[in-house]
Amino acid sequence: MSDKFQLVSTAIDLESLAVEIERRAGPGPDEPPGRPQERIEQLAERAENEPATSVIATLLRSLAEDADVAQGFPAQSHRVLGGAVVAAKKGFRLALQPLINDAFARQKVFNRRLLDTIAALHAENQILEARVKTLEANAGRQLDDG
Amino acid sequence: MRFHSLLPAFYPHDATGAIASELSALLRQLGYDAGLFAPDVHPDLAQLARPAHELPQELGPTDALLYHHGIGSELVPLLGGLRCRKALVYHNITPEHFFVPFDAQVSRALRDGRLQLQALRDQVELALCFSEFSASELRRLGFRKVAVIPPPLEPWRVTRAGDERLYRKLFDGRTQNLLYVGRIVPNKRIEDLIELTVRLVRRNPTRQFRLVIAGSYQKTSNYFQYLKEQAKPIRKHVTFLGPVTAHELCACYRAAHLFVSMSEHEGFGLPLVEAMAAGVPVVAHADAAVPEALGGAGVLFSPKRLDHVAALCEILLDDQSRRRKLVDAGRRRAAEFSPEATKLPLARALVGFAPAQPKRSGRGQQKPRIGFVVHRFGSQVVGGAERHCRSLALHMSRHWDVEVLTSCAADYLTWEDAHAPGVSPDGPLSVRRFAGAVTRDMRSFNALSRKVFGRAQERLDEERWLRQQGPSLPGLYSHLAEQREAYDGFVFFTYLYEPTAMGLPIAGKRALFVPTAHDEQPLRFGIYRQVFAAPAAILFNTPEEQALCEGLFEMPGVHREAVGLGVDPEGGDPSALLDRVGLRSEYLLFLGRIAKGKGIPELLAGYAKLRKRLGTSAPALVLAGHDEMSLSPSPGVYIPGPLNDAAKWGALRGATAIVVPSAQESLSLLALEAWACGKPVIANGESPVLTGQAHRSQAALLYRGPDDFADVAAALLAEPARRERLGAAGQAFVAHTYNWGRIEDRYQQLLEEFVLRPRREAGARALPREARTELLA
Repeated sequence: MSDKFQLVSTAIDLESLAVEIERRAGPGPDEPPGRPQERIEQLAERAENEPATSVIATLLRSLAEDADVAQGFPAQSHRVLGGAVVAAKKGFRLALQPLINDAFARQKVFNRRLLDTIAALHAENQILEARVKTLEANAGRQLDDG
Repeated sequence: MRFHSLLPAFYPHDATGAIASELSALLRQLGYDAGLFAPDVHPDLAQLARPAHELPQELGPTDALLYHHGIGSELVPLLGGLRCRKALVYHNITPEHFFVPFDAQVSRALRDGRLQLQALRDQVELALCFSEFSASELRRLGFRKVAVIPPPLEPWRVTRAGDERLYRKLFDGRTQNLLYVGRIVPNKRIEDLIELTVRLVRRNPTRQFRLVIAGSYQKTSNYFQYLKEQAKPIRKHVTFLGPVTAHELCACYRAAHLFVSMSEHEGFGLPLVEAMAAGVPVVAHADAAVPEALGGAGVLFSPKRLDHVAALCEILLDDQSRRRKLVDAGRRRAAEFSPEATKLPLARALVGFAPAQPKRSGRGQQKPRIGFVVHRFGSQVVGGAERHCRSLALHMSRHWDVEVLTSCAADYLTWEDAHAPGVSPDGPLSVRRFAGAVTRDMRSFNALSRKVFGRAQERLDEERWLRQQGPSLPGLYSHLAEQREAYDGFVFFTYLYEPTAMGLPIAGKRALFVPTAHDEQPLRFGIYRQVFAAPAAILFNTPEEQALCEGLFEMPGVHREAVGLGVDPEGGDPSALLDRVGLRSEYLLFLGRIAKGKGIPELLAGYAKLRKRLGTSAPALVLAGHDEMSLSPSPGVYIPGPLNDAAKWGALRGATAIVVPSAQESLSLLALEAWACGKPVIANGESPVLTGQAHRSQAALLYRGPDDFADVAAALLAEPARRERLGAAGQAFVAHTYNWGRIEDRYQQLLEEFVLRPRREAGARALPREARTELLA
């Protein structure tokens, strides 16, 4: 199909439908949505705390939200007595929290260090990528000159 | 010839496994033995598939392998070592680029899967696809023989009401629900659905929209985290339901106003068909196999200009006339998909691949050879359907060469083998027994029954239940597939058990079917649709049973009538029972399994009230049969255990009246036997069948509940003349309607008219399978 917005159906009249859609959609630009890579970058730019310009940086921030393994996911229940079940789960978790903290203390440290390591690797990778780009550009210029 | 399906994993809620299972069932219907193998089988489905490492031992030189391919698998390099014919079932592979930003592991597996297609191309003789989109990909890769068959879907499964609680949560009368159903993976482009919802919300500030996404996801996956970020600005308008059961899925479709798909890769697109079946208009991005799935019945758009798509959605949400047209077209399109619709294209695709079965010589003027298929068989076996089958087989052996095909089990609770497998004589009958594959654990079976009863189910859940219901006799199904030409016809007994559910579709139009059905939860399972549509004729026990089944199943081209069975009253001395239990008074008699499902608790409560009312003049209550309730002694109640034939007829002749307390009956044999002895019957009026029998015979009194039982029984006991009159009416009714001469004639006529003559006329027995399949084509 071309860039024009096209419809296919054998169940309804498309001509009148297309006219109505054009009227409702209005004359403004209506570009197709970007690919995930571009969108993650846009999301990252929106973030307030730390500047991030890549997929990995965005995902790292998301990972960091789950790094504290001593904190469970929100208690849920789909049963009829859902409220009571959720309250019981919360109470159970609260009562055991000191034990959970103790059991996962080392894991928390490990997760944090792992995140730091990935971040460091990522930073290093960015530096290397920049160097490669510079070298490629220099090499290209030398080839052009030579 | 046997077809073995091999797939990388067999898990619940997975389309590949469901389709592989359905294809196996269709292959059995086409006369081939078929089974499933996978290296990774979910424990819940362990009884439906075997471990892949057992496959090499199973493979015979004439067998064929169907390899199901949809992702890179370690199985592919091993296929070359398997000495058999091979076919590929291609479920399509998502292009890896969708996963590259999110999941390197899946991305690699997808790339490997696509590379493995090259290796498969040189190994398989045939490739089966479910869309022209997939087929053209294989043709481009150089596959020689590629056939497209419609996927064996059952979209009607989502047309039930479903989970009421979820429906009420989603449908509030104000919010308009855009639904998407499918796994939450990058190729589905859920982010575009979220963006579309953002546009709808922005464009219509006074309206309420909700994007409902039903499908499994990994909470910690990068893609899901990415979607959560995307959805943050409109969090209130996006609902991720996660994985939903079939019961919940029905509610989702019911609550949906529009089904919207932005997917950029679908091998076929089952949810699109389900949405159409459920009456939800579909709007979808035109990509991959999506246009084929919709077949023009939805609205396809391209490119993804989201303000335009938003405008399209607004129009279709508001314009009732267009919605109605889309709903009607969608329903028509969805009705084109069913396992039955796949059968003929599958048979055509196999022409040239599946070898012909050897021809069998004609049987001349001998008596027709008829196989009676029943879940258990023997002179000691009690149980209505089993007794019915045995009586019929013995009577029909005068006209037919009867071989009974059954299990080795005597106990219907455990299905443990009690007889040796193989052929043995039983009077004029030959009995061929097959060993059971599994025994039944009633606790886990009851737990599974509680889980699956009364709600919409996926096919695999029902298959799991059926396998546990048992008795599972893989040897019988192989025998039917390979030897069915050696029989002139079959009579299948009882819809409920696996031998009928699996075996009857194999026998197909060679079979007469006696379903002995009553109104119970399993009768509503979709898996039985194929069973009731398969035979040449269905012989019901009563008009009530026929009406019940006709209300539940479509049975096109299947002759149906209420035939019943014969009753031969025998002599018997009442004193045998009386001496056995030391009884010297009048008694009311129940014969059969002493079980809750037979209405015994209500009967005991009613009898206690009767005894209270009449005091010492009350008759005794004799419950003769296997006591599954382990009843404790109570005044006036005698439990002598199971009776042999002579004692049974003696007990019937000595009784004051016979009680039939079960509300679930397809035909009460006990009532017929009571009437044959000239005895009145007191029957549970909650049973439509007993009510019908009572009206037709004018020989029974009906009760509803314990108090009513006491009233009815007391009135009958007070009037000996009325008892005489009812007994005589019953005797005349049985002699006229349930005599074996009439029944034998009718069975012979039905076999001749609907099985033997059509086969003679078609000359089918003279042709090998290949030629028949070509004829079909």
